[in-house]
Amino acid sequence: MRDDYAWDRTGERDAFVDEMEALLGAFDVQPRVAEGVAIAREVARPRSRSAVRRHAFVIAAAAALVLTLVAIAARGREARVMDRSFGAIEIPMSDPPVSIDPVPPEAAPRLPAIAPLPPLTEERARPRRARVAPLAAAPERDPREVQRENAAKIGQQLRRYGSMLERCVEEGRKKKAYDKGYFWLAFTVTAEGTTTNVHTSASRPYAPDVEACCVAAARTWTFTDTSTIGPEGHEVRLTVRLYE
Amino acid sequence: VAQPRARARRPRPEPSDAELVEAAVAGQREAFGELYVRHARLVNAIVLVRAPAGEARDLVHEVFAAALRQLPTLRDPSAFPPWIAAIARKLAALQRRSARTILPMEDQPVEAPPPEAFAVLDALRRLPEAYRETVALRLVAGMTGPEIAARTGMTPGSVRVNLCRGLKILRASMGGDDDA
Repeated sequence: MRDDYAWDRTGERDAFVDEMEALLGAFDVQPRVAEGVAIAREVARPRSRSAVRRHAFVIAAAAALVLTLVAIAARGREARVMDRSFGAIEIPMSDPPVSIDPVPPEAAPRLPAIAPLPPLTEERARPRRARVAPLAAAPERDPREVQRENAAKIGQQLRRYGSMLERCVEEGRKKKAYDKGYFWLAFTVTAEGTTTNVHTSASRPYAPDVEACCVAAARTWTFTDTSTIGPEGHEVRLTVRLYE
Repeated sequence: VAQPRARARRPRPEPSDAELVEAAVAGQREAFGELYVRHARLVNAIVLVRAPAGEARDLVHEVFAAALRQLPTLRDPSAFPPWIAAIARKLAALQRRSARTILPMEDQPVEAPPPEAFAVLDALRRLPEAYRETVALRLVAGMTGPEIAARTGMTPGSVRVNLCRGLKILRASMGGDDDA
């Protein structure tokens, strides 16, 4: 009976069930222990933020809103003379990103100046004796410096995937000729070098097909040099522009 | 003469879901990772019939994150599969209310499902709600009827009926013969 085949794969073979299983199996997942461990790590991370960080976020959000309004006004006046580079993908080197595209670089808020640190290569070249010295004595690196290093490394490795996003934009433009709009493609690079929490936001105008294509592409990306990325991962946000 | 110990090494039995849940509550991340491996396909199939395909994977992660936060409240650790299935349904329904439709691309990146798969998924989503999830667990996650019953907490009889009727409707909607 064909019912038996659907029930427990016994009895007469049902070609329809096999065909549907083959097609829908494409949506199945192949879970790995590391992914579950990464989720557990993410959940274990303290969620409460200090008052300073909360305020910093509010300030950054307010600044972003103002800059967006300024950018909208500026674009209305200068639409005709906009840069015509196609499907530009901008990789922000700061994290968390504080500017919204398109914002002239000079208008973007600047991070506070950071005192120059000794070159990283020298520090690495020294023989490691940290196991003997007490951990507390080890010089702590400025987290912002680590963030910048992570961003630079990821940015470097991202360049090989830029063509995938450009292809998504090109395909989207075959269906609809966008004359404006961009969206953010955001994700977290895990310490294992995979991407997680891939999503888009700030779409204007709405381009679901392009966003879906970019999200699917970003999920396949892997990063080999993740030595400085901590267990909390590194958040990345790319700006994908839809118009010519 | 001392007799050499010749104890045959037995493979360690697989830990049960209940043991893994207890270990995960105690903070063992690897135990939670093992629970994820065992049940992510179940959760994926459940959210797939309720939320956009492009967001299913992220939603699976959200479901497991929510489950881990609530894990200490799970009274019967052996009931983890139906419990996380219920969380998946709830979160997927919430997601659907605010979800955007993600359309299939004609030219998808590597490993993306083919366009015909999206057509079948669309037909699957149009099945009556009672049958939709059971058929998805069978066709997406590849579970057999008895496995579906064990994981979801439904009776085997209900699963069998849902599979039979759901497949019949799906067969008809896909243009196949429906005389089972």
